[in-house]
Amino acid sequence: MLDEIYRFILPYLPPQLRIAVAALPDSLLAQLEELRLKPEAPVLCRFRDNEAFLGMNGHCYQSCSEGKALLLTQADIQKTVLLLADSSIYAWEDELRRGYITLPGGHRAGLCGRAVLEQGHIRTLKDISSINIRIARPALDCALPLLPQLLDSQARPFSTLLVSPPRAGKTTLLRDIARLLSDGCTAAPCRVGIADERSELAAMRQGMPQLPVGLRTDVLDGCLKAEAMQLLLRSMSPDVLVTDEIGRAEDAVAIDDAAHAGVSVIASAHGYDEEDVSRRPVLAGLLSSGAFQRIVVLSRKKGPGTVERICVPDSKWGRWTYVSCAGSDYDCSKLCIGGAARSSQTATAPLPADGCGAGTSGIDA
Amino acid sequence: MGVEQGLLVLMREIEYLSIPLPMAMEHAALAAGNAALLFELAASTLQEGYGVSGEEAWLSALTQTAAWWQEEEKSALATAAPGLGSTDAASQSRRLELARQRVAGCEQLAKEREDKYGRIWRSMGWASGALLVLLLV
Repeated sequence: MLDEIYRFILPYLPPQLRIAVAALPDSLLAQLEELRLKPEAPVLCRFRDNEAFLGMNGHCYQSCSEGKALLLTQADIQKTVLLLADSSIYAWEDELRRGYITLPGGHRAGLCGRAVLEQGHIRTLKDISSINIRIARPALDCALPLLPQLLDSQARPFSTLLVSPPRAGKTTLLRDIARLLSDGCTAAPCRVGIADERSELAAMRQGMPQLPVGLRTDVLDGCLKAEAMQLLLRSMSPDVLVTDEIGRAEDAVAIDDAAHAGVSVIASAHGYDEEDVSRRPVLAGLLSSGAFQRIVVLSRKKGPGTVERICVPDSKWGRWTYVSCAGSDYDCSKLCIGGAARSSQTATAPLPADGCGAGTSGIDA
Repeated sequence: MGVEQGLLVLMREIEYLSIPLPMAMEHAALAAGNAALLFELAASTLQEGYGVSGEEAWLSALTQTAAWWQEEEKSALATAAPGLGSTDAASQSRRLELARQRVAGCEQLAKEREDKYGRIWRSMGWASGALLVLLLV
């Protein structure tokens, strides 16, 4: 991870901030999740469990009142924007419209400033007033314990909906499921198509996925989900379609089409649990049409990606029932991204060519 | 001709392909013939990684190659600098086109001057030759 920060984060920081971040002790750098930059304000570092203001010479301070924290100027912010955009704002217009620039390694710089509108829609951002650099930590193999529950008797993936409130690990889990299916880590390899409307799953940068999504995965990036799914279906003949945060009526139509055309759909949606999503008209329609055969409910109870339960449709009662986990060799409550990744932290062997079976630890920032 | 062609390539790389400025400058250098160094210097300044703006890089390259340019050419090329790389593709394109037209104007003016003075010198040559013949006769 330190190597990632040196290679992919520091070159995008203005010189004095670059020096200050590089001077942080390795133990702190390893926990760094966010760097928040604003003009005429101290640099705020968010670590795994706390936050602090960045000073010079590798120090961090809980308070910025002592005047030791590093202050950035408007010029520093402008320099950072130029570094992030390779001095070419015009080349990142789509990204600016969406409010972030993806960096190599899948890290992401979120931007805020003055929105320039065109016919009521954001055309671009100017006068950037804050930058939030988020450090991505792919949790390889975090879906490995869960995946067998999502395969049918012929090892084909069930169409599955991952449900959780924000920041509970849906995207991380979804990405790892795509990678494991694509690389054939638990069954025969599948052709996977990712409809990545917000560039969060594969973190594409200049046509290259920056996060591991598997060898047989095709990514359609920055396009509306519904359109992307139809295009992937027509052009790439996927076995599995993966998409994040569904909720619009068009998404439901595209998913229904795909799920009834012999393609498994693995998607995520915001919601507290299966009952919560059933109350959303668009998702209720999808759930009742049989587009999904599994619902995985996630929470942050034991860390991001804690699997609360896996639900299956009960045709007799016309509702979703829990899969019984207790007592089996598979215990939902013990599953969380951190837990799964921690178990792979001890694996020191290099990744095999297909990327299965070993990995780095941690969770997405 | 070289620098005008370079500006045209730069404009197209930005407008049609959204190629980042350092790379677009390198591509423009390939088309710029004897003015290639101007674009190469700007590209290398941008690639140093200190958050230099396109405007700063272009003006710095122009200063480093100052000996090459007539005052009007330098002023025409400087037209490309404001906001270089920092605005949307359409604005970039408009400004580079303006600079290209001014450079083309300078080149046209230089050609006209060359033709005019060329004619004077040619006429003077003939006249002096005729005078010499008359004196000898």
